[in-house]
Amino acid sequence: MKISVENISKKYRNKEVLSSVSFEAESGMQVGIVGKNGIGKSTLLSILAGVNKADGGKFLYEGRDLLADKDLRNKVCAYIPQETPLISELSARDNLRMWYSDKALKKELSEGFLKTLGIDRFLKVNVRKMSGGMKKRLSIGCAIYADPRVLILDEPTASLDLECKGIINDYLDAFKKRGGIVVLATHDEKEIENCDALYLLKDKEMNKYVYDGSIKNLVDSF
Amino acid sequence: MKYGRYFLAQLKRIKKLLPEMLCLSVLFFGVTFFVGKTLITGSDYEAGKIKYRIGIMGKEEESFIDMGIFLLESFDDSKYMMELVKYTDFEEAKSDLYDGTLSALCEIPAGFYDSINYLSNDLSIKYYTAAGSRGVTGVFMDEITGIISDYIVYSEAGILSLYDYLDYKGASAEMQNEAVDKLFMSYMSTLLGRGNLVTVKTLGISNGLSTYGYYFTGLTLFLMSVLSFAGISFFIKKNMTLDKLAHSKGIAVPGQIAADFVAYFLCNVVCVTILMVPIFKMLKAKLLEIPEFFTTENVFLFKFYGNVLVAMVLICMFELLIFEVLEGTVNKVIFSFTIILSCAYISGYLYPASFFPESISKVGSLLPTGVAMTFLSSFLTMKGRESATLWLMGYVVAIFVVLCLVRTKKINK
Repeated sequence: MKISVENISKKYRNKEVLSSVSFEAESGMQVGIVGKNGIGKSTLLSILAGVNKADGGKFLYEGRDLLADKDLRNKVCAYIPQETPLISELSARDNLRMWYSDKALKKELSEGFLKTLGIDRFLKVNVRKMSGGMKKRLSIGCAIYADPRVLILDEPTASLDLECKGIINDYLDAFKKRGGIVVLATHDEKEIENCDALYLLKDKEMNKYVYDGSIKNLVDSF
Repeated sequence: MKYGRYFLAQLKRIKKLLPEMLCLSVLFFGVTFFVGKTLITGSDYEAGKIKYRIGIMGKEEESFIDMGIFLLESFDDSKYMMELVKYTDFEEAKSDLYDGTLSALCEIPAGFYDSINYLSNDLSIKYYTAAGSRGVTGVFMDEITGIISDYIVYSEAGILSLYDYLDYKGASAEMQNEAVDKLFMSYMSTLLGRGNLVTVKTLGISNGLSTYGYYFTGLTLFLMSVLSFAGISFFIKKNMTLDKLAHSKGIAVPGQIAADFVAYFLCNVVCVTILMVPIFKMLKAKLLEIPEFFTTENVFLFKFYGNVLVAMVLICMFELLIFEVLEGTVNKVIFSFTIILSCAYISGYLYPASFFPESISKVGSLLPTGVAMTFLSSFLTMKGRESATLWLMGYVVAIFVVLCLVRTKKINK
């Protein structure tokens, strides 16, 4: 399985934010996108997820453009935005019910990734009363309802404690081992280290960055 | 993502807010009831009109004063503005003037009738007023003076003309006096019979509704408008991220709007239904008497309830639009409150719209709140139903389209 992002461009009110952004990834890979705050990382990920529209470019999955094929994109990709897309008045179970059928939900909670994420332990908790880590795990749980092949995450472990970071990173490792592709925007050192390829978004363009283990060097290149 | 699951999630959201909405609804009902009671049963509106009490005092025989009061009250200009009260004791009249029972006092001196009869005009009526009411009662005094002057001047002109004519024709003094007496009685009988020339019927404040009917309609709609604040938390913490994600997963904008609206509307229906029960009970027990409710049979009340729900569709749709356009918690709370109350006021929910300047009254009638008022009024008056219904449906569709455009813009931001 392979994905290929080709020449994605985006303008906001005649101001170019992304210009000819391209990268590739194969099964089992984790691709990291780094850059300064506000540089366009979230915009790029939201375009790939279909939440935002690109002004140009393609997002190819096995040769098919996911930007043009909404149904395939919804089947293949799962998107976890920075702000959790949860309904705060409802419990974890009711939020999951928005995405899963009752049968599928029961299966995932008993033996699937929802159990891996530990969501079965706070099913009845109202979102308002959840910690950041619980919300993020629940967001991931909601996003993977269609058993996706590509995970697109926007700073998945930002503001989380070490335990939650560990749970999420373990989940991402398991996902990659199953042949999935992870594309994430990150500022986290551990996540950067786990990436098989790192791309630096700077001045509207994205270029591969060879990470030498030094965060300082990475930051200097921002 | 399946639409049914998304829709169900919105219903679950509003179900969680229902207890909070019910509590606030009861509170708003209490406030609206108090406001309504004050408006409808306040002394100024008790008889549907405001009157100033003018005392008429004289030492003349009773029949003359009574006849004079009757003549003054026969004139249209004064009929609805003044109430004339007869006094024979000056001290009593002065006391009532001081304590505010009277706005002004007219004293007709002894011999006034005879001086008019003999065309001498030597004596004049004295006018007393309290300093604070001098301005407005001065207007009424001018009115009374004008009326009396007209009586005197024109009748004197006629009487003098008759004397001149009879004198010219060589009639004796006895014949002249007899003729003048006949003319005088003819004047009096014309004036005394004037009150029988017209039949006055009060049609009510506006929209063809009675005073009570108007305020009942307006306050019902006002209650529905303020109920929106009970459900404001449904909109304040709404997650735009979810809307964007749902849209990317195939939940189209009209579907999202419809889901939000139905959930919000259903919650309002529950609250309004619960509040309508005591109102209907009061109507059935005659504790509340609305002329337009010619029957309190269940069928009629249910029809009224149905029309209330239809009007509520428009009000909920309008409020949904306000909440959708405004961004930020503070804006949603403060500005939506201001906008909704302003629209309700201009549309005549709390104060008859016909009392406003014509331009404002026209604007009020064109607002969604005004259209809702016209619709509900048309049910009670049974006039203009078709056009009111068409207007309401048109507004609902138009607002829905605008809502979709606003939500689409927000999603694409």
